[in-house]
Amino acid sequence: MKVVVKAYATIREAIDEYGRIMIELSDHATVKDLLDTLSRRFGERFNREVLETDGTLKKTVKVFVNGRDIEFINGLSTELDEGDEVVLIPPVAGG
Amino acid sequence: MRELERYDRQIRIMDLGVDGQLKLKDSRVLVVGVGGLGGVAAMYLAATGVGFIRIVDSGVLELNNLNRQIPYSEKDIGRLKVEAAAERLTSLNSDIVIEPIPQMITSENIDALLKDVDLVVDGLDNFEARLLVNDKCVELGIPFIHGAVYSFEGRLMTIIPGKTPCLRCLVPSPPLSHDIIPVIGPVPGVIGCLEALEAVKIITEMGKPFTDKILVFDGLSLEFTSIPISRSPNCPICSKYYLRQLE
Repeated sequence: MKVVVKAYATIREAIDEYGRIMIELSDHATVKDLLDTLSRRFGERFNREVLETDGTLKKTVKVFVNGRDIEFINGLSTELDEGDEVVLIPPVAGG
Repeated sequence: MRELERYDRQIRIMDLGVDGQLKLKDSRVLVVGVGGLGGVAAMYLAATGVGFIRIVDSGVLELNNLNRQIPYSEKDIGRLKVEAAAERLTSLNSDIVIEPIPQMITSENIDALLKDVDLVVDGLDNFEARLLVNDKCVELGIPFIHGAVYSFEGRLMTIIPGKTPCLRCLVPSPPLSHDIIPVIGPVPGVIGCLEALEAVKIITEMGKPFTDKILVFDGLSLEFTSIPISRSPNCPICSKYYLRQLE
């Protein structure tokens, strides 16, 4: 199945100039599987922006699936479906 | 008469009128940080007729500020920003009071800086200070309008204590920050304007504050995306004050 990943700010810079890419995943893949796939594909720069050193998701990075915060679904175990839109948002600090 | 003439075009707005203008005149706003965001927000708050604006910033103007910090001119380089901003705001509107405070906001002075203000506008450039302001605003029940920028992106979220998620629900602790944050000039202009607009709406009780969601402005596609934010059950700040409210 394919899902759309939309990323902002420093995560956008780590994955793609326009911040929107299509990712192929196996059926019943979870958000964790998606992050693992992105980590393999985009390497150190993606990891630095999204993951803690122990590989867990940074507390400051918000992940939304079809507009819903995964914290209020099933966290990293949230299952994805064909066509889902996953949004990755880090905080930005400039003023 | 002079003020009726000055604000004529907005007094004509249905539902705002002289009553709304008087609410603006009686209001007291703290703009914390007068850089790209806060400088623009303060200009519009002054132009719109907010009667008292306290501006807080310890910074001195540098040449690399001038791509986005439009209250200032080249002649202001080397001056305290609050001093130059106060002059600019007073020259824009001498019917209002500007209180410049050349300090960095800290846990020691925050109570004094928030004293007697109706709302706070975020013009800061780091999350340590933003979370300090967020936490104190939630504690004291003062609305806080958060704005931030990065590169071609902007963010905005309004926090009404006791009613909406707070900034710490979204960002539990200060993230590691880049030393120098890249910003294209017009983006803090967009977000600073929207912060001033949110302040005007709250003061005049018009429209609906932008709460329970974060606005993500993407200047490259010129898209405004609104992402719903819920109160985090683990938020150490607003859970404490919501509980107090329920008692």
